[in-house]
Amino acid sequence: MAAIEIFSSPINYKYKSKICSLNFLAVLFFILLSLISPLFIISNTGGYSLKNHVLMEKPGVSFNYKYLLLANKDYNIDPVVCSTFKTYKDNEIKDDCILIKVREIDTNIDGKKDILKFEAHFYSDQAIKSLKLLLFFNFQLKQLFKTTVESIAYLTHTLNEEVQKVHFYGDLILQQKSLLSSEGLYESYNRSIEIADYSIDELLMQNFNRKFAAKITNKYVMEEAGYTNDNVIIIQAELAYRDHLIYYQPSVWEELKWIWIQYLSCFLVLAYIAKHVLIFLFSNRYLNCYIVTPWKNK
Amino acid sequence: MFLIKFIFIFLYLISNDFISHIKSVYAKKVEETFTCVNETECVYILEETSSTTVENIYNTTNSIISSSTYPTQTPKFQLVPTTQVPHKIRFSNEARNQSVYKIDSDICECDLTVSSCDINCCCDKNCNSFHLTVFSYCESHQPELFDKRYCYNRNFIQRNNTPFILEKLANNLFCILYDNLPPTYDINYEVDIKTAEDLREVINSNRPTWKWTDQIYIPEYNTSSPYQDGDVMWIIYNNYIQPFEILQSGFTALCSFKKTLKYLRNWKDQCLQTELIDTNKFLFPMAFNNFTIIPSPHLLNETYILVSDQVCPKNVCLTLTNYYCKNYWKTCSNNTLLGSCSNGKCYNIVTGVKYLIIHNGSMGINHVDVYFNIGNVSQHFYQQFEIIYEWVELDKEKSFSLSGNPGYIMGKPLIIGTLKVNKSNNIETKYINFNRTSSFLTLPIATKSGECNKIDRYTLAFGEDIKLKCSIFLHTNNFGTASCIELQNLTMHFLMQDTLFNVTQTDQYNIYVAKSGNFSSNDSTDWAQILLDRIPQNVIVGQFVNGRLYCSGLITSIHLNILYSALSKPETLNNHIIVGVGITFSAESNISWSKCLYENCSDILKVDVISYVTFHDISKPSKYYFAGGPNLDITLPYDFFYPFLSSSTCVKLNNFLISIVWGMILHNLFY
Repeated sequence: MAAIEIFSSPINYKYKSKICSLNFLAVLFFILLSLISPLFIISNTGGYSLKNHVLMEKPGVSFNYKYLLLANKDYNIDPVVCSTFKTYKDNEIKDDCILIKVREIDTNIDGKKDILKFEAHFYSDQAIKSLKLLLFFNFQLKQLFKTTVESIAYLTHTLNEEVQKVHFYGDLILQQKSLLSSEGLYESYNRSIEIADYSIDELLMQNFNRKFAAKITNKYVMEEAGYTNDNVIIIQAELAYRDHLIYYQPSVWEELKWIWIQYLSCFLVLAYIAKHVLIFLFSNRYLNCYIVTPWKNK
Repeated sequence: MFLIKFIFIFLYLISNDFISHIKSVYAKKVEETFTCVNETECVYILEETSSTTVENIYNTTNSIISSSTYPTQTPKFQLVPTTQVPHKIRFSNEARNQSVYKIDSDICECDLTVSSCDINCCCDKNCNSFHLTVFSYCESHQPELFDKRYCYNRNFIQRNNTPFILEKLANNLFCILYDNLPPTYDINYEVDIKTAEDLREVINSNRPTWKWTDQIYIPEYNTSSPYQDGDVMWIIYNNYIQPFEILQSGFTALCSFKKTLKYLRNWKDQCLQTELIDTNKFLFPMAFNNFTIIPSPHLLNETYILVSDQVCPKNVCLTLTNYYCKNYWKTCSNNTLLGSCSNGKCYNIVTGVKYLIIHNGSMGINHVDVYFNIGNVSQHFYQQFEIIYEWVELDKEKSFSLSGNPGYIMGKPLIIGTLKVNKSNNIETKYINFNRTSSFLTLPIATKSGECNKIDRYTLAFGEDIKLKCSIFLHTNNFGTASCIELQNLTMHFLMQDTLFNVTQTDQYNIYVAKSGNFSSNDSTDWAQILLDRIPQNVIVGQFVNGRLYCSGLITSIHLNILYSALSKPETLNNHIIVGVGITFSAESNISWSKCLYENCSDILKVDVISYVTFHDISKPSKYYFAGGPNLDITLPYDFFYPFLSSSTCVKLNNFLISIVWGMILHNLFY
């Protein structure tokens, strides 16, 4: 019966030499080369670390049941003010709205609210000329770090005709000013904003300077021209809550997750080449040293 | 030499039977069909497709009729007064629209009126086949939710997007493609255009291009068929047949557009009237009642021919019954007041019009009432319009509108009832008394001056979180504790509507809210008691301190918390049930007013009454729960591993181990 090769295993030669020899230096050179050169390759092709990372998250948005609506008429007449706040600059706010409707709708039934409908009804002796609406929201972020941010969505609109009804439509987004570190926010924004502590300018400026600020984009305004003071003026706002892109600096462990793969993939190739170069040099006697064969020892 | 290529377009596997029904493989047809494994659910889809084809045929014939020449002028019908014989309107049992048919289902979400037929609600049990003849479509019967594990929206059958023409020869498993076909199968790209028809064929109809916009659709008086839901209503004005038109707002609030009334379509709108002069005919009732209404279109055609200057007889054309009302429809009479305008001021003009049309389905209109709201106006004003349709057989005693069926629909009012206890033969029976006049939960709303409206109240809508604010003014000459108590009683009267009378403990409060929009029983389990946090106590003290009037211990606002959850059945996603209702009274507060400055003047005590309403959704997001897989019980024969394991005890033990391993492997493979 003919014999066939069913298995093979290599022979391990041991090359022995003194420390102070050319052989040793050559081996050391190739080992160091295979260890260090991946670092050079990777750092020249964009570096190891991820500079930043993007995460898409749908924050849990909830309306705080706090609002301030200012409907200006003429500069010499007090505006129509509607608010849930009691005082402003230590003076009592007289709420002029007769009806406020708020409805948060979960359109896709996933447990998170998707749309806010806000409606204010009030009477006015004169036609209104401009509108300012401040709506207070809580944004709850969970995926990267857990935090609750209270922020103000600010709608402003100047009316160039006498109107009875104004509709606002817009997307509510959370605007991020700068890159976050993955440890989270140093500033805590979950302190409830009260209008009594600041003037409206200060309030808006503070909201503006935050790392996270609510913003209304893609705003549409539809006004129904025509006005009589016998009928109620209706302001409707419909805001869609949109997903939020968080830009952040990854943490050390998240960086390491990517670094070791990059290093290893370069190192394995170089180590393989270095090994075969050394085998070639030793086996062809370019480098002379004492060879221990496995069968001679026995 | 013939060269035949076999191309496996697809393997039918599951849907082989399904495909055999389709005679030829059209790409579009295949796209539209659904595939599903569960056969019972397939039936529904097949029915759907068959009904749409019928409808298509209907539509095409209809379009041919309507595309005939448009009338350049409305036809002049002059009418003969024949003998006053009441004309019977024939009623054909055939519905004009084939897609309208009676639907039997346990849940009927569009049935929102008790003991009356809801228009276009095909599952309403109050609608019979006669009622159905007037329907133009069936209101969206919620599509059944299919189990995604068995039914697929995606096409498993691929369409042919190769450059070759596919031909199916028989009910084969494979599709055979010839690429050595005779040249007749080649597409000729050289187009020879000789006639206008050729041109039209070649022009790519899918490409968006200019549309003909100059042709306005003019409704045509169709004498052949009776009125159906959505048809244009016709009147005879100056012996001309015209569509029934009233005013509506256009791009602005101005009354610049016309609204053509559609049969059985309720409508409500307002628009701004700015021209307060005598020549504006819409300020006077003549514009809204100086015509007769055609009760059914085919009546006029059959009995009358053209003869000059005659009025349509009463038995054919309906005259309107006029009611002139004042104070927002409150006091009405048949007597008209002459209206006039001068210098931008108008007296006794129409500020609102309400048509109440009593109909009998496809048999036409029986009776029309028109209510005018008459008022004096000195500036621009909003004119109100409302059209209401009612069945002639409507039993107003029995019928009332529901807030949803079976649960509540968002935006519908909350239904309340009062708990009554009936004691007879020492047996106490509790039941809920539903009062039709005060059937909805209401809260006080302000008038223009900011004062709480004594007559009208705001009807709470389901799902709306609201804040209502109004003021109460109390004039007093002799301020004291008594006036503070009076103020408190007035506040409570506005907020709670005297329901707290004789209530000393919170569980005695007898106002209940219906848990579902379709309440049918008096049983108190179907109703949720409004839970009060406490009973407001009269510990009010009035004081006069330091030039100011003080009332302490006043309760001025309430907070209504309503818990609701979505109905558990998947087919009623739009419906919700109320789980609980609670009222929290605000803390007792001290309010002060400045004393009036003069002698013998009356102090005005003003209190802001605020009511808050919050709806809390306590239903959980819907999730699928999969049932666990069946247990696998696999045993191997005792000599399965015979040559390897010979010892009998070893086999037993190892068999046991191996069967566990096998079981785990199989379990991992299949689940």
